[in-house]
Amino acid sequence: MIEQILEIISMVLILIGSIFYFLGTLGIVRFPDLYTRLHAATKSIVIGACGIILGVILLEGISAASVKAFLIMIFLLSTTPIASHAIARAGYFSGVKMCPQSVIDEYKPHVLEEKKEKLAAARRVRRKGH
Amino acid sequence: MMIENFIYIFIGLLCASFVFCLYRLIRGPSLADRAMALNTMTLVGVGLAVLLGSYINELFIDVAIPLALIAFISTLVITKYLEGEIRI
Repeated sequence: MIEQILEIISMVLILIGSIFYFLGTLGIVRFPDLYTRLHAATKSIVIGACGIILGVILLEGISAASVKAFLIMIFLLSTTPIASHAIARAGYFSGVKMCPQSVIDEYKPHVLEEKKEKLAAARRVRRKGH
Repeated sequence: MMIENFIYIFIGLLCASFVFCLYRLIRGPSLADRAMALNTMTLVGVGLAVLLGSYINELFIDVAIPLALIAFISTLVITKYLEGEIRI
């Protein structure tokens, strides 16, 4: 009885994970812009991977394979935000434009401030050199 | 006993997401789009490997670990190249 309930729960988890994969990649195709595409891709892909891995762990019980799957889940949860942040930053600095419907760019003043600080620091170093 | 009945639905959904990622990988306007599509495609491969690992053979889960590692490291290298910090 308990085994059947566990199987049903794991099936539901794997189904949720697959649907999240499908909808996330559908967002990759349909969204108009790099940044909105990143928003669709990374979060829902991580949720889909976590759903599939939790379902497989419930299906397998405690074994070497389920421990490996759990380690994969921890690794994905910790590294995918870093990768998406790096992609967004690289896209911004290599000149990818936002879609025309977007309203505000809140990163621009920070970039200008960083540039000013860098220039001021370089000037200070040059004066000290004299 | 139930996974044999539903495995085709899961594998079908994951293969559809492979096709969507392939569309963005071919069509993408910029290089950052392509890097994102490649990262997502490798993560779909991780999910597929884990699913097949529970269905066919446990060795497929060993395939998923280096796939996740390679997705992360290759994405970081491509973004460093895009920012101009390394040259190839």
